[in-house]
Amino acid sequence: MECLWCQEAIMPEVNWATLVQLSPKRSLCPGCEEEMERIHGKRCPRCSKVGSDAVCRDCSWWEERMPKETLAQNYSVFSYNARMKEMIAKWKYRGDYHLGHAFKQHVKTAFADWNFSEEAIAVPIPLSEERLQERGFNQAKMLASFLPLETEEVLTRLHGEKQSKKTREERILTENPFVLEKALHKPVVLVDDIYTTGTTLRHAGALLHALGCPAVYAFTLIRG
Amino acid sequence: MRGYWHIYALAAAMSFLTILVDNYWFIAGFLLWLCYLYKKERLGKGHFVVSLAFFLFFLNYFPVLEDIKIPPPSENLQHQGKIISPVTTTPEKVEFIMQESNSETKTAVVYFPEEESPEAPAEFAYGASCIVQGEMELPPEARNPGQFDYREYLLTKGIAYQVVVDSIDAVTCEDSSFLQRIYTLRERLLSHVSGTFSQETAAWMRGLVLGDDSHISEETIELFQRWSLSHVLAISGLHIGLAVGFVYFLLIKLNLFTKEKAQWFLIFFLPVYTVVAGGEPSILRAASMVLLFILLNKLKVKMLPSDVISIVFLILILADSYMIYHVGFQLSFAVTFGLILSAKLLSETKQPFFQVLQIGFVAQLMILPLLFAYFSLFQPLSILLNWLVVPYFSGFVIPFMFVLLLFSPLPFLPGIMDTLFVRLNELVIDMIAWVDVNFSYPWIMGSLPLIFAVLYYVLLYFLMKYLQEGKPDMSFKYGIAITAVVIAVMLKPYFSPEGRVTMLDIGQGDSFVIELPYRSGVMLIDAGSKYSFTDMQPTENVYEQIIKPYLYSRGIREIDAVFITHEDIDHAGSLRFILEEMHVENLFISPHNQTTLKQIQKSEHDTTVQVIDQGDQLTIGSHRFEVLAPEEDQRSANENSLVLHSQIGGKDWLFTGDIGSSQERVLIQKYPNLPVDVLKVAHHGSNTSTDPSFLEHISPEFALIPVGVENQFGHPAPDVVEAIEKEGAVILRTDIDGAVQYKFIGSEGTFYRYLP
Repeated sequence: MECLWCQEAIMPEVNWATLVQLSPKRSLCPGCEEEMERIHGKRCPRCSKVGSDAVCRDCSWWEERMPKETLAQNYSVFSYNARMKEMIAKWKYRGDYHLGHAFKQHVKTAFADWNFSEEAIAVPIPLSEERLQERGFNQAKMLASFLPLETEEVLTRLHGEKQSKKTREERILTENPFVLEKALHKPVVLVDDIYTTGTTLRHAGALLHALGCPAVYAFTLIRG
Repeated sequence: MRGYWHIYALAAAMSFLTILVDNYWFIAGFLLWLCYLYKKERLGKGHFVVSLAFFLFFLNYFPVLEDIKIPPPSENLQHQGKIISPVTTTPEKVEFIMQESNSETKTAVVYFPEEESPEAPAEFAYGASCIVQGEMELPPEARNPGQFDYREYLLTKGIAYQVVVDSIDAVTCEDSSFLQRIYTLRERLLSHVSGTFSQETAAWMRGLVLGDDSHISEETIELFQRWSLSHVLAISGLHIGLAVGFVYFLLIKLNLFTKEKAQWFLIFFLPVYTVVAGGEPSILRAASMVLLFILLNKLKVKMLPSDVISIVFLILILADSYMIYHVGFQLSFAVTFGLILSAKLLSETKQPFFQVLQIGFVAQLMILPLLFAYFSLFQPLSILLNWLVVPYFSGFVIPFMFVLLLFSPLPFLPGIMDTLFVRLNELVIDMIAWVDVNFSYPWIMGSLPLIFAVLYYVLLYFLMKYLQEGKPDMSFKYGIAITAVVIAVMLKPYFSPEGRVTMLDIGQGDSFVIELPYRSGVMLIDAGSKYSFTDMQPTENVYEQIIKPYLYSRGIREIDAVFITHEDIDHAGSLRFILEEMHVENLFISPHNQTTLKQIQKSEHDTTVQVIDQGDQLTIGSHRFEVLAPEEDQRSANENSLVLHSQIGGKDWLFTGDIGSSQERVLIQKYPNLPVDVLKVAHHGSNTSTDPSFLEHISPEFALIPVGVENQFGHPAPDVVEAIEKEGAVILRTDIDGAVQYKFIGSEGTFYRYLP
């Protein structure tokens, strides 16, 4: 097995602890594994922003403008560091679909750590038809497939500017780019690769909530 | 495949266990484990299939000893074949293994010389075609429980027959193959060592550098075995590591070679040294592993140590399907694999001395069940002794021996070093012997029952796992559990309602062992031996090879009572050795047996000697014995034999020693209503005893005759056998049945013959 990032051979460990169970399959070598920064310790209970366990200023700002139900909580796995930036670029924009598997085990354990106990449906944030053609896969859908939840792709996206090319203010004030194809009456966990301002997720959340979804949560790979 | 070889090796090992203990639960267990790993995605489809294939392949690969078809021995007195082993010459014998041209099994050819230290002619060479004159016979088998089974031992090497030749001239050979050149080099080195150094130094150098321990005294070998130090004597990783390091260092430091060339040199040096050093499995393992490491390093291929040992394991068992039966092979691989698994744990210990202690601890734990199975003995303090002794050997003796061998052409210096070593080594061996005398608290028992052995290794796994994971509390609990398992097995006889009476087959002589239920008493009636014509003394062999192994296999080291019926060597010869090595509470002899009395006064022991005669009643562990004879001095050792009567396991037993017909008559006069179910037939069935009238009077159900195979006296006498048969008693005799055991619970019991 080779490291999905640096292509070095990964040696399983053989010792007393791994004799009977064997070491779990690793997609990254221990060195690259260390480069990724899992979010541990204090974080904002609403959006997973690292540092304090009080509700952060961003979230307070949102609370003044939107009802809580549009997005009750976002839970993220990693912090956004240099290595993560590179990995996302390679995975998402340069089409290295397989690299996504490097996140699989982390996504699973983080989701378990979240203690999310509601019976919910995972809804990946979609790409527009055009973008999907361009990239070949939807990274959010891949992440959703790692979760122990039922996935339903009920959202579609109208084509627009790439999110990353807009300013914060622009994003927040843009119109809702989503269309909901089917109303869901169960709690929903929106899945996306990154939570930066939370606008995209709130657009989707508002739509779901308006059409009868009782609670909307988000699970994202990275808290930007 | 990398990182997974140990699973394939474990698959092979599991197949072997399945075959060895003939228990199919191992198959189920292994398959379940594979499925679990597959399900948990720890094992991909490919690995799963390959592991399964390895398992199934080896299940049909290893020879099953019981199923080996042994052709009938050839009637010819002349055998033709090729020598397929090195020719070993020890002070006691010359031996080689021959493959007959038309046979699947191999034959051991042995010559026991008249005088010591024989020399094999140069024509006896590996690969030589030979003609051997002599009778082909089955090797001696075990005739007693606990006894070493030489026939089975040879069979584990694929050898079915042996030819013991009367003289060296009975073997004529010609030709040889390439390997013989290396064997000749070995022989030259061996004789060079013996010719250059003092006997003591030569013995150790032969052992530690050239893998021939036959010149180290038997006492030292056994001392090392008792204290789990034998690994020092068997050339293994320790020696190979030092030898390779030594050679590499010399080549580089003396600027003879570049590093690159020095490594290539080692790649050729290792196989040659393996053969020169005797090629035992422990050295094969160690040398192959080092060789593979160097090669992989050259090829820039990274591999885990667990892969390397597993690949070597698989190659060796594929090269020789019998090798896995070799005790040294099993011990060597078990210990090394255990240490590889513990590498992470051991690397956390920074203190080197503490680390050595840990290594010893892991090594002993890995092989404890094997030690019980093969040696019936474990010295718990051997871990500490290893801690003291191993650094002395690895840090001093072994490197010293290599240096000394290299210096041997120089003047003066080797002589001084030689003397120095002898002085120092004597001190160390004396120290070990002193520990052996003063700190011996051995655990003695036979093989762990299978289920306990499995439990042992499961507990060991958890113990080590928690230790590695930094949970010493949990680990400690498993440590206690593992100790409890071993102690439970040791204490089992104390909770067992089963008792045993065993007539051991010691050849022409008597020795009975009585074990009462719940271990409330262990008694011996007689402990015979054989007479050695070389030193005019009873030999130790019967005790060492039959009586002691039986007692140890039953976990017995303390005996409540030994009865010696009379002084003849075939009844009393092993007594001295028993008193010296075991704790005997009471010794009972007859008042007319002055010989035995005088003899035991000479040896050191803590036994109470009691003189008993007719009319005495003895109680041993709440069990009663009645002494029926002798009443007065009959002026004959045989006629003065103690005659004992006791009820054991619901039967009345009469032990008669070697009494003759006249004493038998006295007996029935004195005890006209004596109940006897089991009669120990007097004097090995000689026609001077067991008179028909006596038989008719006591009318036994069973007649036990301890008698040697084809003994020179013609015992048992045909008329005695006929008289017993006429009386309707079942005859059980050691020359036909081997040891005979009566196992009983309460007052019900059954007789078992050891030989089928």
